[in-house]
Amino acid sequence: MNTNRREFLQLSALMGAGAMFMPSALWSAAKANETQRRLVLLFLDGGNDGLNTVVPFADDLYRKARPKIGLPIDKIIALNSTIGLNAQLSAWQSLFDDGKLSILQGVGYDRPNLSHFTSRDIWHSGLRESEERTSGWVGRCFEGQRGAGGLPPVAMGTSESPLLLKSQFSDGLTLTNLAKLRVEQPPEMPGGRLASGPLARIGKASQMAYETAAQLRAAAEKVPAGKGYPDTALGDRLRLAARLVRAENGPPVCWTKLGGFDTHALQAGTHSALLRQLGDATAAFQADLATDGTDENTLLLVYSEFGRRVFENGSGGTDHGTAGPMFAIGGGLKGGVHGANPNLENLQDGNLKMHTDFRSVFSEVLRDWMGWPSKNIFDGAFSKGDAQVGLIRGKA
Amino acid sequence: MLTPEEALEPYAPEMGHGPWTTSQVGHLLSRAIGGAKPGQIEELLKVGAAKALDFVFEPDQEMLEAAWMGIGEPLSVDDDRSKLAAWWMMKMVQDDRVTGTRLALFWHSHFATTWSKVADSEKMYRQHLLFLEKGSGSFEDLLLAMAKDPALLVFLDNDSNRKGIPNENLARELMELFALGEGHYSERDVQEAARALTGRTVDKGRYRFVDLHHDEQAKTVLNTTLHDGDDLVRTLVEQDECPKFLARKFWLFYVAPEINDDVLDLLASRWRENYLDINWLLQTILGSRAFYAPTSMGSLVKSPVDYVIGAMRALGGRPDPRELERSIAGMGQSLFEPPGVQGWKGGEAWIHTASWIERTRFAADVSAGSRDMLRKAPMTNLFPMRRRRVARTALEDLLRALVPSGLSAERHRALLVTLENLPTDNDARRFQSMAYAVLCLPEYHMS
Repeated sequence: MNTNRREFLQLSALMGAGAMFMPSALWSAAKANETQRRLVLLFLDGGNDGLNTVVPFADDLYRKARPKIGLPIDKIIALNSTIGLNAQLSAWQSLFDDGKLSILQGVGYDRPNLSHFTSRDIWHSGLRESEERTSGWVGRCFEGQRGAGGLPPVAMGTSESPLLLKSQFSDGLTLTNLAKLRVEQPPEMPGGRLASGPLARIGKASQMAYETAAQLRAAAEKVPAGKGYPDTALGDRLRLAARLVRAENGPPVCWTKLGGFDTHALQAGTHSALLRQLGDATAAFQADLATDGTDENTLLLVYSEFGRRVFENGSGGTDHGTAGPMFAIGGGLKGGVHGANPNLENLQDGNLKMHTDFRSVFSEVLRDWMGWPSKNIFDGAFSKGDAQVGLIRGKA
Repeated sequence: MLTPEEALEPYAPEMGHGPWTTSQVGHLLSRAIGGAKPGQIEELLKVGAAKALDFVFEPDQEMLEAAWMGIGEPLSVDDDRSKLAAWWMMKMVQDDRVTGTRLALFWHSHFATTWSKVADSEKMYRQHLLFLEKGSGSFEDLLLAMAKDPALLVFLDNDSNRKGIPNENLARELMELFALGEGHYSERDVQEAARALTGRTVDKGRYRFVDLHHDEQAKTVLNTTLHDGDDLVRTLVEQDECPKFLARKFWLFYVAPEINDDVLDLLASRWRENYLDINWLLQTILGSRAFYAPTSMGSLVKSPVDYVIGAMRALGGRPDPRELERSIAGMGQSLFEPPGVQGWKGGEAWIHTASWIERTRFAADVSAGSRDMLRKAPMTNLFPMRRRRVARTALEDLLRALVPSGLSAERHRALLVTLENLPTDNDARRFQSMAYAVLCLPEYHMS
């Protein structure tokens, strides 16, 4: 390191001078959890068309509602006599057959909101009843767990501080790639205290950035990058996620997203390409983790802010809808189809009715997968944290 | 606590409303035009609050034109996104007008349209010109024009919104994001509004209305019977919610992270009386007592654009525009590629691990003059050598340029002690290190 650079780094301490909100010891490794359960969340941004992802091909109403964009039988991989996967998800077929893929049908929430942004905030805050959505369910739950050591949850591929990871005390960690984390942690320096409010929070965030970035990089760089990923943006992110998952004392939760699902017009090509990217990258992720059994301790959850309208619009696309399928991939889950298939007859304003609240899925995952408390994390009836969808193997 | 009337009245130091010091001047320049250039603070300090406000609305045109020299025209139809974004960044570094290129940034985040979906440079450039041309006139005129803007029509799929087979995308965002805000319309309103917008399409890059594809039947939106898209826009603009929705957004961009309900009600009703003239709104809020209230000063987090152009303006640099563009993109703000139709969330959402590290990297590069950040005017030329040698005076100069509101006495002392103890006897290098320290202060990330 040249002198110039070192002086800079010493000075960097001033960015957060005096405002030591978060003793680094809290974040530093205490001891590794023996099992090191990991959760990876993948958000399909824009509202994924569930009916063209898990296709109710045996239902005449499906084809009636979608004369143009309805998938012909040769573009569907039948999973049973009633539903099948969009053939672009061919990589998921063997996962399904091996019990490593779960399809959770009809997930949504009460009084659906058709705004991307409000709906996204509902999913990420885990709050339906309250309009004050200033923190996320991962952030709130992790807050009670961080004493156990290790890194905070990480979000990849976001340009903004993610609501999902926010708590009263922390914002989680964001990451573009490991090389970009190349900054040294500045030495601590005594100095004037920052006024409270945003200024103090920025000071704290800067301090956090140095501490956690260095720690994350050190942990992840010890893990070699996995092989067999497709050369796509999502492939790159999941390859990185696999390194984070394997990192000792690494982040317990990793979040990333795949955008472009707001298919209002000419959706066939766009949606196909997205599902191809989704299926190939997630299958590669599972295959990578399975090489050393890490998949047994890793759960990948795929969700979107809403599904799309049952009836196609005139533009060869679909407008905003409500309930849709969620997906889970991993070696520790109960594979197969969970929950009733969509009822295309009993609609509300042209939209599917949900039967499984997303909070019950997340609640179970926190409790039965992560072993974290699920009580008082979500609102409404889900604050009890006892909801059960039967996703996790070896549990009720 | 000011009453709503007091909050909105013009800030007059001579009436005892408060001081007029470098802090206030720096605050005005930072919020209105992205920061002070060398000499501007001293100049505006002399002329007083009212004339300073005039300056940012009507800067010296000749100087401005001279400043444009050498930037060149941006566009041929095959220019890529980053080239146009780089050109825009340079314009913002130069521009001294409130209603110029930085206001266009406000509108870009409001009518957030992405290059990747529109996939046509010319349409994106024309939309940008529309913001420059109509962005400070009446909001109704702007919204009428936007509802016919080819880039927006393509972005929100209205080019395929036809009679009998409506597409709701534009209709929904017109209400939710452009005019009213979520919760002030029903799903039924969205469906009816979509019918009103049928037939609005794009042909050879220009707006075209196709009669045949327009649904002639009457529609009912927000209890109003109407027919076409212009009726719809006027109906939305007439809602009480419209000026409140927009005025709040302006307030959050220019004044403070929150607005008191009574102040908002008063501001919205006066803005309505002034025909939703955007220039009036900007004059009012940027000249108001609330704008200069201690709770407003330093209360906003700088966006990547503001962080970068602020440094460039203050340090008088003539950077490589491409480097500026790469910097803001890394920090999470790619111009012409907002993260979605809701634009950038802004505020504290700008600050997170990845973005902070990018900001630090930029600060280091600017200070060290690497990546051609200040190739035409190295920072060491901007500050007199005799002052640069002494930590105390060098810090004074840097803070005056970059953090005109200053630091708390305690913070100032702590910084000075650190700088005085820097382990180097190379003056130029010491000064670079000091500049780096100042650019990384949390105070400099706030405006």
